[in-house]
Amino acid sequence: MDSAEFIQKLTDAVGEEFIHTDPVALRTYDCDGLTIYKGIPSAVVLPETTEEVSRIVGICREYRVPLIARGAGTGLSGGATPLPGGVLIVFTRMNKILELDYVNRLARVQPGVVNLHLSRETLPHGFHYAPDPSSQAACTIGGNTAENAGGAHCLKYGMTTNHILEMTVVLPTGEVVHLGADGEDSPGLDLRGFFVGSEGTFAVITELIVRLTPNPESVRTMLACFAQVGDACRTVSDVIAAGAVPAAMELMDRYTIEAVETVVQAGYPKDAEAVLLIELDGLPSSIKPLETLIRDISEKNNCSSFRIAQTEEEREGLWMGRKKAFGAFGVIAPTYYCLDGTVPRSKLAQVLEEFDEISARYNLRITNVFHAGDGSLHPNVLFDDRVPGETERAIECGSEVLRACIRAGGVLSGEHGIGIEKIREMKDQFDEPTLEIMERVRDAIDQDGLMNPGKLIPDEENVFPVALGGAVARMGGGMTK
Amino acid sequence: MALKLDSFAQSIETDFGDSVLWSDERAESFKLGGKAPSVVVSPADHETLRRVLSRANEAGLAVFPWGGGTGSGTGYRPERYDVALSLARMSKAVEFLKDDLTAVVEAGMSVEDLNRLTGAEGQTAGLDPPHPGTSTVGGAIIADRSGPMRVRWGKARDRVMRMKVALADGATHTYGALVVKNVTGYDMNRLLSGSWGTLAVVTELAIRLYKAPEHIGARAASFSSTDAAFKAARALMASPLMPIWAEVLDDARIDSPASGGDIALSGPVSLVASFGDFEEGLKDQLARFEEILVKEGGDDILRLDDETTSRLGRTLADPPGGDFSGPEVLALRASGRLDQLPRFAEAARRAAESGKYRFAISAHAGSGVLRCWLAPEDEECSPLEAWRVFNSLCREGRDESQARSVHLRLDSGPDSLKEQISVWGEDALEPGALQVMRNIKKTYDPKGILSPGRFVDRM
Repeated sequence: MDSAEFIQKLTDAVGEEFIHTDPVALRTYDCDGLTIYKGIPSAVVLPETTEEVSRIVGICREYRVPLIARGAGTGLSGGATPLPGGVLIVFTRMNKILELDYVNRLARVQPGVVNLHLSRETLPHGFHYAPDPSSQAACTIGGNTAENAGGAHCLKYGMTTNHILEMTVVLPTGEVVHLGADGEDSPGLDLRGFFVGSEGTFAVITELIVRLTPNPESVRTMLACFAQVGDACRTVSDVIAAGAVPAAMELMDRYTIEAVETVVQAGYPKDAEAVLLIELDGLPSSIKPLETLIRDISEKNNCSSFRIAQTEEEREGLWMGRKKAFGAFGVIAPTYYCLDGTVPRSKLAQVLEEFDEISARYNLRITNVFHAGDGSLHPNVLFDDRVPGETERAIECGSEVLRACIRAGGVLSGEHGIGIEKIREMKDQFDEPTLEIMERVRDAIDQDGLMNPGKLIPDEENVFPVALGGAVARMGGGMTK
Repeated sequence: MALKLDSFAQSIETDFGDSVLWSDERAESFKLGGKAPSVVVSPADHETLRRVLSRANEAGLAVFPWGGGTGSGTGYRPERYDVALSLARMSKAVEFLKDDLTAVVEAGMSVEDLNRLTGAEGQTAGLDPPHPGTSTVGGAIIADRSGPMRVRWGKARDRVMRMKVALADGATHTYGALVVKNVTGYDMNRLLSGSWGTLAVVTELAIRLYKAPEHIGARAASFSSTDAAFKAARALMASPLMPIWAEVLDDARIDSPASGGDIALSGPVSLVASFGDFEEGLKDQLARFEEILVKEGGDDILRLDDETTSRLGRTLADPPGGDFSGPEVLALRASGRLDQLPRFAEAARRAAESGKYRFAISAHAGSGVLRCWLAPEDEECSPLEAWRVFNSLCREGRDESQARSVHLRLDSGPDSLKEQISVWGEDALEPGALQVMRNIKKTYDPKGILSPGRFVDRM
């Protein structure tokens, strides 16, 4: 391949200002929120239009160079980590809100729009964009769509896939197509639904039509505290079994409480083994009976205290603890490894007991802070990477945790995706024929194998080393889930 | 081919006993596009079904999976039709995990039976295809038959947590898990949902459930025009109220047998919406909806009790019936943005006029979907003219991208019309998207034995 010619063509496609080939500049983009794997791309391009993206894809195809799309790089599974030598398409310049249609409750946006920026724009008009990953102040809607991101409030409002109506994508052939429609129905196979969460292995997203959700009329936030983690888990299971759907239901264990209270003083009782942060939203008349139901269930499960935020300030304080939890782990360990296995909600108490056993066996502390309402766990293995061998032990411990989730009828990932991080464990989750059909379908869509290769599906020629098969985030490394 | 069919049927009969249903009379009730299958096979379990499929694949026989047959009027006339693969004997509940709000059922279970199973524990799947007594859970998912309740519970495909399927070559795959949040690998459940039996045969489904509301009720009002009724519906959808369904119905639909005389309104168009909640919440939602109806110019406000609301909810997805039944009736569907609904309604009226039809309208007013039925006024009626007018008026005045985004489909109609039009609305698809669909089809079913010729682009 004539590299100079290739780079020149990319330069012609986006303009000299919007291509980086300098090694120092390229290093800025060498990984996403999963910092253990790094790759230096051959070029970073910052297109402004769908047509430019199409041209870039065409050039990469002509020269058979892999390409990877990147939003804000906040992903936690390595989905946006560049393949060494590949081309990274960065959507910083494609960050415009193109249309706000409140009559039809939708917005047309470019993929680089930051998740929270859309809601900031629409809130005064009575609407918001519901998917709310913890990184929503930085992450982009395009990246969220590629990963089918979740968040605390998807218990009630659904994952990203439930909020994407239409996607404009550039196929591996360079062709621009629209998947889905701005109404609810579209002809043929549900390619919109299938492409959401495909981690950039099918196409590059260049525009989206997303659903806007009316703002709730009232919000009630409460904190239930427990002397036993099992009691908190049973409260979650009982609330779900009773059919109540809070907007959010988050569980934090003793270690998390300890860390949070040391750092931000959210007002969680330090002697509690677990707290549940529960939020209800909707009409006041609809949520009042739910509030009573949840209090009754919490009391039946021996909650030691139950408090309802009386002011917006108090509510924000309760949420502050949850939002700062990951950053706060720094006070109890130098490093942590965050997983996102998900289990049936009736199995929460059981798997948390298993995590305790695993923790004891590996002699590593595991903290739990997670979206309990939908069984979406975030076990964090705490360790000290300065101690020889402890990183490897933490990674093995993480694999055990994921296998425990699978044994409980759960899955490897509830919202972070597979990427590079969990690619090794895919064989624990799926049997050979199921993995094979995923691979064959991917090959049917991306016949040249140039779309974000080495991610999601394990194969013999994985581009990234998988010997260290886990996400390890150093403190302050941008891991804020 | 006859030889292959004979040896296929004999081998099935020898190995699987009474799985084969031979009688001609029985085959008649599995007709598609006027064609009856040569053989009807009705396996009792996944393993048998998988092996039957594998043998059909070896013999190159065209197989159509068959649930309740309620969607049999949809799609092109099959190019080949050798085997009807009935799921009628696979209708059992596998597991009801009520504490996890999950029901695992065989695909041939009727939606009504699923409702009965879950209703006993105060839960609902929120599935409402037409004719729930006949319609199967597998059929509702594989055809993504989403009815009026989609505004509250989402589309049928959103219900699927786990899916067990048999591929054309007899392989078994299981997609998803019994969890409500899952991004582990590709979302194969969504790929299969709505694929109309062209990729694989679904044999078992884990369905996500919700608590059924403690109390339900509905309110309805007449409006002087479709525009006014749809405007009121948009006001409802912009409010914090959460309807279970919100339908705009014209007089013809209200007077039809499907409505059962439950909505006695003067018309010409009505908006009716139901709500479910705890007692206080329901009272509040109904009162506030009444305020919207009055403010938007609604007349004759009708208050429906829980029993009537429930009965109406069960039949709203059904076609009107009566005069609007029979092979010459056109059932059309248009989907777009909410504010396009008045345009769709006007297109239906003018299509009926041009084609010499009578018409009835029913719209999922919170979801941007309009359905209309055209019954021949006299023998001079022209289905092609009606379709052309409907097609062009639904998209009139939109720029290219918005026109492409309006989705039109012929749900059922005479085969002669299907030969002349794009039945699934696939003329709006770009070539690249269609090619991706063809590639996926070829990956799943290389010999093209599953439902050949019926789906988009006669895939």
